[in-house]
Amino acid sequence: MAKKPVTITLYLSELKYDVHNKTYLTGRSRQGDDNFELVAAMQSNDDEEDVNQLLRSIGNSFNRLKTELAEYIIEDECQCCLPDCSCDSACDSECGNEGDNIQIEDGDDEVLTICLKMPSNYNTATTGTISQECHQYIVNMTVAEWFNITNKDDSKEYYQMAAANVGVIRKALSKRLRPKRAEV
Amino acid sequence: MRCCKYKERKHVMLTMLKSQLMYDIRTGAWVIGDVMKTEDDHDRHQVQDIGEDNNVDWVARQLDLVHGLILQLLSKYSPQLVYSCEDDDVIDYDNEEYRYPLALPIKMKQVTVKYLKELIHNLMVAWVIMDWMSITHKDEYQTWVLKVEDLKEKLKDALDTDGGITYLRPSSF
Repeated sequence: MAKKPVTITLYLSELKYDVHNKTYLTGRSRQGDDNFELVAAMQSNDDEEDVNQLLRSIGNSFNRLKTELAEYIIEDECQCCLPDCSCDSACDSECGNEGDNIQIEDGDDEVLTICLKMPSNYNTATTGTISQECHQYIVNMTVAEWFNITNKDDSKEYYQMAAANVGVIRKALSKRLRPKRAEV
Repeated sequence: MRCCKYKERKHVMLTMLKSQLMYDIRTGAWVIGDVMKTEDDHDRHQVQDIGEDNNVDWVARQLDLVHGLILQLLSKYSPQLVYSCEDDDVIDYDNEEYRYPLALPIKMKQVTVKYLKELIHNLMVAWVIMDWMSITHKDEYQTWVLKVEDLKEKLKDALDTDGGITYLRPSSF
């Protein structure tokens, strides 16, 4: 049976905005008369050191996510749905033959892509859920790591929410369609 | 006393299409997965994915095995004597049909042939699901073992009832 290709595209700009927004709102709601500096520190922004920390977390979370989805990622058969990838030796790192610790690149047009090869009986109705939960997982992990530095009290909850996102992703990936009778 | 010296036999070819078998196998596995009591949908989809890539190769091997088993069960009515002195374990994974050539007693009724066909189809389906349950969902395994045994018994009974027509030799005792 032919596999169903499913491509999840996550825009870096959307991920960063969500992280900034969550840390901003959390900071605002924690603001008191004597914690201005603490609140300012927990609100992430686009300054270089902040962005570098966030990009590192986003990259780490993205790779953890791929590990969770590994059952459905067949990179050595990568036909690459990655932009401009023709799967020759130039894109080995994208296809899993090489790895490095280079931080992901920043930019409004940057995307993180996951190419899934789902079974033919996969219920594609859950694709939207998977992409939203993937987004949310990366955001929650990034905020958790950010708060681990700036606001430890809130960090644990974001790790828990990220774990819950993985549960939903696995559930959505496991939904299957009833078989259809073949014509004779 | 039984006599099996039929003067004539009716040659019948029963053909089981893989597409029909696979539909029933996949439907059976889907329903078992759907009703299984588990919180883990990963376990559920492992049961339901019987007809997916790679898994179908396992299924093909099992279909080949049960095809051989049923031919053996029907061997009394097989028209084929040994014609090959060597064989190997290479199978045709893309085989689209399983054929059962039979030389049936001339007096066998058509209803029995129809019954045989249904029994063979169901036995092949049950065998594959039984094997798949042994891997993915052991709680269901025993249920399917019983189904397989039941179908095998029915197959033998069907042949004995109609096919094994009994002629009594006249005897003074």
